[in-house]
This record gives sequence, C-alpha cells and structure tokens, in this order.
Amino acid sequence: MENVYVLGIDRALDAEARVERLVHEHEAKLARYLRRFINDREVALDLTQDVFFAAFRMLRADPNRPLTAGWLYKTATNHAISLLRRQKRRGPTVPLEDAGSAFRLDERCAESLDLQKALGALPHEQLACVMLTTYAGYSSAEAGLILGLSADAVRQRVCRAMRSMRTALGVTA
Amino acid sequence: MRGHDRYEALVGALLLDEATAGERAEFAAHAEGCARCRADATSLGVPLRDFVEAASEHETWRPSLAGDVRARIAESRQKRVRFAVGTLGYAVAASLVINVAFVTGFAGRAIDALRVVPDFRYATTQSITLEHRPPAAVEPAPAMVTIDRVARRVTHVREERSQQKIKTGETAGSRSTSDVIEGLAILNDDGSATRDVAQIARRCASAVDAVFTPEEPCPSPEPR
Repeated sequence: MENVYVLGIDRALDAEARVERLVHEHEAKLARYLRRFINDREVALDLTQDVFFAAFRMLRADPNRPLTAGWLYKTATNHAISLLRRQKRRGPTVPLEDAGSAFRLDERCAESLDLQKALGALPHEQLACVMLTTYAGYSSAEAGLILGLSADAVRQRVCRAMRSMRTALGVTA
Repeated sequence: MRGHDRYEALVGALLLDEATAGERAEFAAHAEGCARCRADATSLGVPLRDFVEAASEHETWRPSLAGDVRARIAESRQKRVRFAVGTLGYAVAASLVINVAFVTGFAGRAIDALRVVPDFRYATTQSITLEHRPPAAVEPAPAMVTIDRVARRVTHVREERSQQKIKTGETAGSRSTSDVIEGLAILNDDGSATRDVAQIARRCASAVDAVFTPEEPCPSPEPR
C-alpha cells in the first residue's frame, strides 16, 4: 500500500480527534461505497458508523498504529459481506421492485440503476473485488492485499463478475 | 494457475486497464482462437471502470456522520466509566463484607460449621433390613458322660452342698443327688442309653468311694 493512503499520522492528536478527521475526509465516499455494496441507505449509514467506531477503538487500544484508507475499506467490506451473508441466511426482506430505492430521486439515472441491478446479481466475493477495483479505485494488487488474495485471483474474479453482469444487463457480445 | 484461468486473469487485467504490453500480446494471441475470451474482453462494450464511473457520476448523497460518531464515542466512554465505577463499587463492597465477617468472627464460625460434618448426616440414607428367622428345632441329644466325669461332678456337687450347709446352717434345699444327675444317661454295652437315676447314683457313689479318700480335698471341676 502506498504511503499516500496512510491516515491519522499526526500522533499528537488523541484517538477521538484522529477519528473525527477520518470521518470528515472519508464519510461520504465510504457511505456511498457501502450503499452500493448492500443496496440499502440506512444500513449503509449504520455500517459506516460501525467502521469509524472500530477505527476509534483500534486507535484507543494502540495510538501508534498507522491507520490506512485500505484498513477502512477492508473493514467496511468485511462488515458488508457479513451483513449480506446474514441477510442471505434470513432470506430476502426487500422486494425486487424496490431495488434502487436506496438512491434518492435525483440519483436515479438509468446507468446507476443498471449498475445496481448488475451488482446485485454477483456473489459476495466477486462483488467485493468489483467494488474495490472499480468503485473504490484500488488496483487489483491493492484489492488483493485488502481481501487477502493474489492480484491474479482478483482479476479472475473481476472477469467472472463481468460475465454475470453482462448476463444481468442483457448485453450481447 | 490452470490453463484458462490464466486468460481469465488477463481479461480481468484488460477490463481494469491494468494489462501490460506483454499481457496484451499474450491475450491477443489466445483470443484469436477463443471466442469466449474475445467476448469477455469486449464485455459491456466499454471498460468496466468507465461504466462504473458513468453510473456514479449522479451520486450526490453526502451523509454527515461526524455528530453520530462523536455521540457514539462519548457513549462508549460513559459506558466504560460506568463499568469501571460499578466494578470498583462491587469490589469495595465485597472487601468490606469480607473484612467485617473476619473481624466479628462470623467468618471463622462459618468456616468451622462448614468443616465439621456430623456423622448422622447420612444416617437417614442408609436402610437396614431386619431378617426374622424362626428358631430351628433341634432335638437335644442325650448326654453321654463317663462314670469318672459323672463321679467328679457328683462329688463336687456334694462338696458344694456341704459348704452351703456350713454357710447357711440349713440343708442344701430341694436339690437332691437324683436331681443333679437327672438328664444324664448311661451308655450300655449294646449302644443304647438308659436313664436310670438310681443306677447312676449307685455307680457314682461306688466310683467316688473307689477313687477318693475322705481326707483328699475335692478337686476343682475341669473347665468345660
């Protein structure tokens, strides 16, 4: 991971101040990432809050530990995958017609809803790879570090995810 | 990595726009003979990142979580303080109780009471079975003694009686010689036993006269 991603270096600040800074810098992007991941705005807000609170606890336990943006996205991805697995065990709670209701009216363009529909058809592991590489902007190597995979494994999953998305969107080759 | 998995990874690199020149050439050589990989490479018609960026351009949602996170941190701190104070309070209270118990001697008595286990504690749990058996009927066998033993016995009884007479100044009571030797039997030569008291008395008397002189002291009876 590059040094540019290292956050909260100012160790003179206490944990709460460092977390406030993290929140100020990453809250919108992280919340949108989680909303796209789990397709639920309110739950995405809760999960984002959980991620920042986890960062606070980590900094409180070890103030000298550097906190990276990769750590934030890794924690967010793990939280989201855990939530999706729980939802899968419980069964679907939101009708398919309501897919996209996580987005406000001014955000509901065709491309956005198509992307959400295609992402909803992906398995969790492929979804995490696609979200980290395309939405969060990490390279396949960085996404591999976050997910504990090799870069080739991430690329392979992205390829398979694209096949599924193409089928979901009805795109012909 | 197996054969086609390698080309899947190359397609992924192409979709993410990460493929090097060498990887592109390798994939192009493979894609000439593989329609599936050609279709994967073209995929959505546009690079994946462009597609996602186009979809995300309209996202204007900017939630404000600073206040919520701050409140949650404050709440967690209060919870920690409450937990610490509560634990400290319980520890102090427990320490006080233990100290008071030892100072007043209650703890020592309690320990002693716990240490002594009375024997009757488990008595109620033991069952005792009493077996009632009727006494077996045993027919008494006739006593067979030799004349010598009978004679000694008779002599001893006589001596006892004479001693009793000396002590009490009266007769030995209603017990006669015939009473003493009653129940004894004489074993005849043919093995049968007779119970003739007079005959026994005579034999005893003759035996005593033959064995003992009047000056000899009466021998003590043999232990049975």
